Amino acid sequence: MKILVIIPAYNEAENIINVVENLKNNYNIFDYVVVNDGSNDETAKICKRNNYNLVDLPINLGLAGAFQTGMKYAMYYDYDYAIQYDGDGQHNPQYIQGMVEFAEKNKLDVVIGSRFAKEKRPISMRMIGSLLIELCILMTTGKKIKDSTSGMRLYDRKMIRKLATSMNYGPEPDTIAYLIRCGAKVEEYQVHMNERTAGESYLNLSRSIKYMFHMCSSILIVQWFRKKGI
Amino acid sequence: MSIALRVILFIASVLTCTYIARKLKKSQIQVTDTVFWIGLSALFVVLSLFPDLVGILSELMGFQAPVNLIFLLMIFLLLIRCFLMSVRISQLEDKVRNLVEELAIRENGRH
Repeated sequence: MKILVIIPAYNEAENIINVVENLKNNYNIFDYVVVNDGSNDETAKICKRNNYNLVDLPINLGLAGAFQTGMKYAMYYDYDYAIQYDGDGQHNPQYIQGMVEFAEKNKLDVVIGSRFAKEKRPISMRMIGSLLIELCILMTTGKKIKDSTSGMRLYDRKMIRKLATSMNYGPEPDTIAYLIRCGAKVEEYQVHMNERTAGESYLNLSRSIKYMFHMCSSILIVQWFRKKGI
Repeated sequence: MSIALRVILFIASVLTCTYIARKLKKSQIQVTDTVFWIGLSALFVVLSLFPDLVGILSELMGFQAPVNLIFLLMIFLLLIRCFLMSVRISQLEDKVRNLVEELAIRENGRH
């Protein structure tokens, strides 16, 4: 079985070596691809110097574009599963195998590496946002997704094809909600994540509010107008 | 419609027409994109020359003044145009994204 780890990287010069070396040395059963999203820093240079498998976008497309590039890569090279994986060291590769087995066993289309599948969620501003999205998804799909904003998601072959070729399938909770409505089988798998080791989080307050507004309106309203089908 | 409005409408429409024609001549715009604008300015030339057309229509539709019909028509046409432009921008962005992605994957060269 071929499994691809997609690592979108935007200005991750400080983290990318650790992330990739860890994968290469300890988990070489998985293939990986770093998608450099037109970074301003040394990300691309570092990857080339270390001979990492790099897809180097000439301009910045944003996470959705970088992720879709990885999906296209997975489609062209015929992978069975592709996993979205952060370039900042938040995700732990030890869970990948488990997620794949979980997907295989239950014939799932999407597995979300969830921080709160079994464990209780802490109370913070960020978690209130997460709860709100959970509520939106619950209302529209009837399914409880406790950690929809988790950036660690596994997609099967069918999803790879869909996400690689269509518009409006960014790696965000609204896509998950929409896929569930279209009949995709989505489940969560308990994982642990690390705090950021270096670099700055992309989300500040105003961006978070914008993000929440965008997600909620997309999940609650826009998806009713979209054509259904996987 | 007052004389002043008719004159303004006429002059503005003719100027728009010549401006578009010049852009077309200098190859700064595709022919298909000018059709809407030429049609629109032609429509307003006609309306300014034959204000009775507007008068009859606005009476039929119950407008208080013919000029309101002109404004409504303009706003509506512009909104439609604006939306069509949004669609085109989306499609362009999608194309650019796909181009960038393909280009980068090909350059990766794992064949």
